Amino acid sequence: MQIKPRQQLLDIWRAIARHSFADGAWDWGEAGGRSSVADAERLLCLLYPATEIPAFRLDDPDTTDRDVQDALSRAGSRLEVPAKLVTVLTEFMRTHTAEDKRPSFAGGHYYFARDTADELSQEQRDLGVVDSFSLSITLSLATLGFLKIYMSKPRKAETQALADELKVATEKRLTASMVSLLRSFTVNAFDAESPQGRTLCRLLGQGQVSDRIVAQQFQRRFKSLRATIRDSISLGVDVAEGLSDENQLFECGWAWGLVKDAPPVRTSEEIGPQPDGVAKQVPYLYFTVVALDGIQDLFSDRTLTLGLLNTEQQRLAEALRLRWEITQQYWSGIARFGDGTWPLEDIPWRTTGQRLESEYFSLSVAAILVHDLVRRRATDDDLTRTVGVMERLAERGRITSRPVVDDRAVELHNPGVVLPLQGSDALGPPMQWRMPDFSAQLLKRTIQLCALSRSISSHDRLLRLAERIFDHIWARRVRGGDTAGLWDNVHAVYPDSPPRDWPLSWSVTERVTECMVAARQLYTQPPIRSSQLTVVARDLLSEATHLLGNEQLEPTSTAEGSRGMALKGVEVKLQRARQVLDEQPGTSCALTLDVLGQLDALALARRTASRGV
Amino acid sequence: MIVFAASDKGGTGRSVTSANLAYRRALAGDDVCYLDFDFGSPTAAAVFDVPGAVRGVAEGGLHSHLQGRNTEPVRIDVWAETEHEVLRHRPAGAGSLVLLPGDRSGGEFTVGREALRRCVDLFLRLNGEFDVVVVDLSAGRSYAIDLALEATSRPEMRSVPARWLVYHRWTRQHVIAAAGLVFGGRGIVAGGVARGHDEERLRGAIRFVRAAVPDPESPLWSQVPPAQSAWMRKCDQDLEVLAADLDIGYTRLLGSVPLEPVLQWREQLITDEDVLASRIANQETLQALEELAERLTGDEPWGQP
Repeated sequence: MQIKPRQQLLDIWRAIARHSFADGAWDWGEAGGRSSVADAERLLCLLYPATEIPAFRLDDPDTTDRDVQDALSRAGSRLEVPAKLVTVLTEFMRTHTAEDKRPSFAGGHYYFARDTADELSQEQRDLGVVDSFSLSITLSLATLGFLKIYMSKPRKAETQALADELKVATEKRLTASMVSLLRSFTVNAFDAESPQGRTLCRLLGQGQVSDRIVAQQFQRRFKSLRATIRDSISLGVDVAEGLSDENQLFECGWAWGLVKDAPPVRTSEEIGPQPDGVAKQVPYLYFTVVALDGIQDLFSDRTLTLGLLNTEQQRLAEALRLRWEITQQYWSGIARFGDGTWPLEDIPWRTTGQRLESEYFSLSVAAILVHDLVRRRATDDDLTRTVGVMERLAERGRITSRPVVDDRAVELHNPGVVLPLQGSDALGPPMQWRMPDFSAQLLKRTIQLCALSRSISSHDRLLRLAERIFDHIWARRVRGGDTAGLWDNVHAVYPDSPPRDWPLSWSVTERVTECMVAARQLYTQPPIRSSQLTVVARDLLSEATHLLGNEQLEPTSTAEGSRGMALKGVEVKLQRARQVLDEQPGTSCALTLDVLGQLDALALARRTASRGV
Repeated sequence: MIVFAASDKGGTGRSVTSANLAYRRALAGDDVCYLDFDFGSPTAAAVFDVPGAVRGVAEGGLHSHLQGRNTEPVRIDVWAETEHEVLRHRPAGAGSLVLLPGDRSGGEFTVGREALRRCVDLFLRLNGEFDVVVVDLSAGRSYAIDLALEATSRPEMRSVPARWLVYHRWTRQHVIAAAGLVFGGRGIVAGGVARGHDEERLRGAIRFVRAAVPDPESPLWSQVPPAQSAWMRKCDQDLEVLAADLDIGYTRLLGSVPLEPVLQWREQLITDEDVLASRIANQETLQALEELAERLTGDEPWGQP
């Protein structure tokens, strides 16, 4: 199915309006308030497109387009929707504030115990998670920008009061989430002989090179990065002693939550007490990708032009940016390590910290690589290799191929990849985290890569892949009931997979929304120019211009006559063809071909006449 | 309630749309009175098909009343005196519909203290007698607007609800002109504030009406070539943005009346028969007028958005 971002996003909005605005008022429902991650994801389904796509803006009711307004008609008129959003966002901020007035980033019901018999303690459920920190950054920036525009015109007094409260709460939440992200960044150093070290060496050497040589190559490859981390990263993290020992290997990235013994970040902003962390000092690929996604919003064009960050927040953002850059460089280096096949191409990836193996981790590494490619403006060679990885992931994840009986790959989607959260057992039974969004993540990265690609063949491969993944995802929408049109009805594509008790997944719905936003960016850029077509178009244009000149040597017709009109039309078309020659050589060809046909009809008629007399 | 109908330019359909609104309100059961304050060319009576007053009455109109030449202005009961076939049968449940025409040989005049006092008296009297008093002001920044602003700023008028409708066509120039008429340096808001109006309250009492709007989505335009349709949509979007920039966007909009040949050429009241029986007018136009009439007296569309 063709991806039509505007139409499909409107479908999603229509479904959300039907589900969440019962009788016109926002209804959090039973699951509301139980997890800051789920609630933030739910709000972002509306706010993220509204922030990123001008046509979907909700902050200026005067310019809302009709189709957008129709899609949200269940939620209220175009004047009511923004006012309701202010109320809903304020409710979100109030709900997710802990008793000591600090913003809460609780994972809530997204955490679950390793043994089904165990019950997690409330203290555990209240633990902040990187997903929530990262989503909070995006949500806060979206909210601040929304308020900035919406409140630039006078509004009703009660809306004004709510907006003031919301602004203060959002700024506090934004600072708190940045501080939390700083405190959950970690660098883990380990010996090459340790089990972790051996896993990493095997991963990088792919069984071709001895561990000792891999360790040496690692030292050389990451020497400067190691120095940067050691010398310039101090805020909110104790860089492990081991980093100064050149013989140790290391990993950097984000743990699942606040790291144990992470020092508090000193800040002039009022964000309340900074809780102690429990997470072990081990980076997780999944949480690293999540953090990278959120952090990049801090230095987007929109954040800069609207001036959404204050001085203190800018300082924190700078610190995060450094970690963002380093992490990307590190993982991109790991993914492409060595001379021959990339470790990334050796699917599935094996994580060193948790020693787990899954296609999902390959996808996470690929996602960081895509981030890095976007940042560095990739070479087409790197990109083409990544395309192959994406295709194989879709194939192995049983998205573009049929599952066999009792296929283990289906577990990627249902119940999803499970991560043990190391260190969580300090407060109760060991906790786990589940990622059911493999397809949506794969689609998002495919589309991002596609937008990046400037070669017609890889662009085409990626687009076709994206469309096939999209088919799969679109089929997974819930069919009936009040959640119709949302995700995730996994049994539509894998009928034999085990039953599950949560029909609605805001994580997947939010990821799909992100995909649609990314897909819009795909179409807003100019099409890839084909140099071959440009050559043809230029030659055609030259011939047509010449023939037109020749035609104009004939006796002049009256301007209103049909020949006169035809010649005028030809001139206009040629002018247009010349104008678009560089940007759209194909269009230029089509226009010129039409002109050539018209001119030839005149010439042929004259030739026939000259023969007849 | 007093409703002032203003526009910056002529040809905005101010009179014909206001008359239609008055008619719709009367059909809904309100007692309605229509004042022709267009002193330059008092032609509102033509819309109601009232003979003898088509270009204003010979004597005893509003004009001469305000100047003190007659004690009571002429009143025309539209239901009784119209020549319009449908209008002559006053429907059951309809309120009264009265026209106060202008003088044929009128012309603009400056507002003296006496004229102002008479004007205030007239408004107070009519407001007590009728549910809705529509005052059709002349186009542009006229003395009539000054008079209206001055009159409504008087302490005795404070308790009388006043609403302003500013008509403009859906074009670049009209949008800019309408915004200028209201928010400009010599505009209605500035003029009102200079006369002692509370700015926020006055702003909250002003709404815009877009007239003769070609709706690219309507059946009327569904058959145009695709390129033309694309062009129309883009123009429409650009106008929306322009209107929003000038703060006369959707938040300050009371309604839009589609482009309608019956309004455009005949400048007449659109009756249900025109739409349902003879079908010379479009259903959409009738709906738009009904909706406007409903929003005119409702509270929800008014006040600070």
